[in-house]
Amino acid sequence: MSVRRPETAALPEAGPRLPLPQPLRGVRVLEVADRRVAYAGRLLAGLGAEVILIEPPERRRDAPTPADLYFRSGKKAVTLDLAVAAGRHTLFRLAAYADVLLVAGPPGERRRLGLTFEDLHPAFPRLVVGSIADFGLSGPDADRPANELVAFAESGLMSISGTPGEPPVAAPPHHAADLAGAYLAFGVLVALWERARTRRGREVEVSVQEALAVEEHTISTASDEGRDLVRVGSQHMVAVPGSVFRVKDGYVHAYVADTMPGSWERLLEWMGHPPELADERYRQGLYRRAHVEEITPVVARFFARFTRQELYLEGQRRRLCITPVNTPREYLEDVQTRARGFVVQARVPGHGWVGVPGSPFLLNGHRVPPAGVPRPGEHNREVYLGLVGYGEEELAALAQSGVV
Amino acid sequence: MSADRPERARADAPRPAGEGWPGGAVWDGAGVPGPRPDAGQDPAQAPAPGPLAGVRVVELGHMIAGPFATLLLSYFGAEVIKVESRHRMDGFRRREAATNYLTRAFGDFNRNKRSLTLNLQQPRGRELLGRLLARSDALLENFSARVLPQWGLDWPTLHRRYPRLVVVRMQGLGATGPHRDFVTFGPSILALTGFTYLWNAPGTDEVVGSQTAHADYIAGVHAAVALMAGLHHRARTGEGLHVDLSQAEATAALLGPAYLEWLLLGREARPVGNTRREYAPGGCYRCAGEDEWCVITVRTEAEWEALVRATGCTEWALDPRFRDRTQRTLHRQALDAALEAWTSRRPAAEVVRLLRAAGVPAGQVKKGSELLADPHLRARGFIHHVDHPAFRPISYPGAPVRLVGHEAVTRRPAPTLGQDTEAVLRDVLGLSAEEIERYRAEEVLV
Repeated sequence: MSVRRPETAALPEAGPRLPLPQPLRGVRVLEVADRRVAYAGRLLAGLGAEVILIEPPERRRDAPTPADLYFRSGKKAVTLDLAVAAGRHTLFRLAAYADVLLVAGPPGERRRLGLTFEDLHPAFPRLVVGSIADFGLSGPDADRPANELVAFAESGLMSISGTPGEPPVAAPPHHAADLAGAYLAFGVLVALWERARTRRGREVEVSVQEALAVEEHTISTASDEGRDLVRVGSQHMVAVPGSVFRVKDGYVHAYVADTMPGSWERLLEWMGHPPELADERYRQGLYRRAHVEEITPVVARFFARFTRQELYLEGQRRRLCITPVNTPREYLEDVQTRARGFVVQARVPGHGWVGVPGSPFLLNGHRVPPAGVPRPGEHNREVYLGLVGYGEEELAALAQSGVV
Repeated sequence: MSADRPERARADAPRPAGEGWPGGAVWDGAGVPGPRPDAGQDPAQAPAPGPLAGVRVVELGHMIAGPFATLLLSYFGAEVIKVESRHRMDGFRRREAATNYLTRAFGDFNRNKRSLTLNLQQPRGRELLGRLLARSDALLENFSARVLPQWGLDWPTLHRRYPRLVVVRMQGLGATGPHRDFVTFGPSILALTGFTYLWNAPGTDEVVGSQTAHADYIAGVHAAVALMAGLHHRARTGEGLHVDLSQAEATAALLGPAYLEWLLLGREARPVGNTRREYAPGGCYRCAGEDEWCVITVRTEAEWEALVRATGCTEWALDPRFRDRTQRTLHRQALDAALEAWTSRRPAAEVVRLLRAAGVPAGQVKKGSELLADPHLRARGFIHHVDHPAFRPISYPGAPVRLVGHEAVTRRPAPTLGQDTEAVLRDVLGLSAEEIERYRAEEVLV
């Protein structure tokens, strides 16, 4: 099944259509394959950069997963074995023609590969090096055995995610690493901006742990009140109602708080002013939060009479923040998702033309379509012959010895 | 404060597209302006030195998504002017019992910024905003879709008046489409996109998801990416850029593989909780004490052997159910029970210390107080102590991304409402004391 792109809706905001902006056209990015930098590479490719994905030669044998297809799209793909000296030598040859290098891993591993900023900067002073490590590149935990799940556990966010009494629950697999990649892309754009003036590259560094630890006031609450936030299921810290509700055909999320003045009153009006919620003090969010156990069941009984879409559309018509709890498929099928053309048609090897999520934002009204999805090593000749300047024989020798 | 230094006209006037842009494989960055000549002279007010020194951003933001985006920019030296009003205040200004319209949450996302109060319901307030935009590089806003056009600040008008201005709009569901006016908060975006559904233990009947505003941070960093993209675009074309960022779509972009499972394979992604295919054992385990947990992951045979050694549970090595990864995956439940029997007798910190020394990836499920005291985060300068003269001292997390060699610090605590109104009008717009007084008398500056 594929989600067809609807007829390009009028974009009243965009005015006369300007051409597709490519802010990073002419910027060349080398991405040393690792899930932690894959999303950064995808974002930069979407902005017009030429992203060369460097994968180990054995990747040629693997059948691509949906994640491979998603993160490879719009990139060029070469194979290179960085475990051997000849491979690292080729990477350095490539770096001479690059503006940015994206690489992941703890500092010890980077030193072993000879891929630290200190290794690269003297030879390539204009190269921006974008690095992600689970615990960053410095500090006593930098080289501890780790991965994305370990970093997530130590970020504070996991301790407040899940049901009280049950184990804390991590976000879906790889999510923390992908999010760290978005921060990396931002840092790289800042470093490129600076480089235009200073002509010097810099190291951009993201710690997966820190990328999550900025969220949700865990640190500031501990500092300010000397207490820790705890897991409260889906119940929001201040909004009441402010949680997931089971309804006729699934679930919705509702959020009624003082930050949206009048929303409690609008909810009561819709509910026909039930006597259980008549207490005038309930008009105050803080008071409601203290009486969540009395309020939520009344609201839940009301919501249970409706479907997700009924609650969504009628709630929003009444300017109430109610949204369906969607599966990924349901989000794609949502009217708004379709109207804005979030899913665009792209050609995917082995699948033909199919719907694929496009860029995360519209630039001058354009959704950047995902360009083709290369197979591992597809651009070996173009890159090694055309860019690095190897001769046919040299490339053949590297291929023979399994380096590319 | 440099009252005698009104702002000079902008040096970097619009240039035709492509001028000074040589192209070529390696970008030489022509077109990026140097530091602004009109930078304030007072060290407390002056834009900080840094990679983004000289970039001025006007924020019409509230709550998390918008303010978090400009906080990221401020860490690297961008000058952020938050335009607010007594009539339309950042929701966080009065979330708790506020002192001087300051709250802990507001104090987090508005560090390093200046606050200018303008009543934008009044034409004279909008006129001042226009004069500020003429002297700024970017505008970022996360109001409802209809607000800016109501004030006559739609993109075509903004682009005509300020052709070099980068405009980032970041509504919950985008600035276009039939649901553009729908109200959403961070948790609603998680619910819409599929995160709430996927962020659960497998096989449970109840959907819990996360009560957090996680999606706001995702939208915020994407808005910062888009704003920087706009600056780069302008440097090479001389033109501003219009960014229409839907917080839902930015969040959804991080679920790309889950959507492709459906689009390509017709298969729906399901919640997996803390289990990961590549780890056996792997997951979250109870430790000794009240609400104490750790995560442990074992991928390779070497890690498995290290786990057996570190726990002293040598019987596992002889158990045929745990012979190799295939068997361990098959008998995941039995293995998890055995491992939890070991972890639940020890404090989480001790479990992690033992396993870490043995080379097994393991982590403590840390709470805020443990992060605050964390030697690693402290050594990295991640904890920022902010002593606010009009509020109270609080420690906040630092920047989630660093440019090594440039310390991303909190230079200034979050402003009180309108704290910098006079300074901005005087130093940026070059207004005299009399003019400011007149605007004040007309109730424009509230």
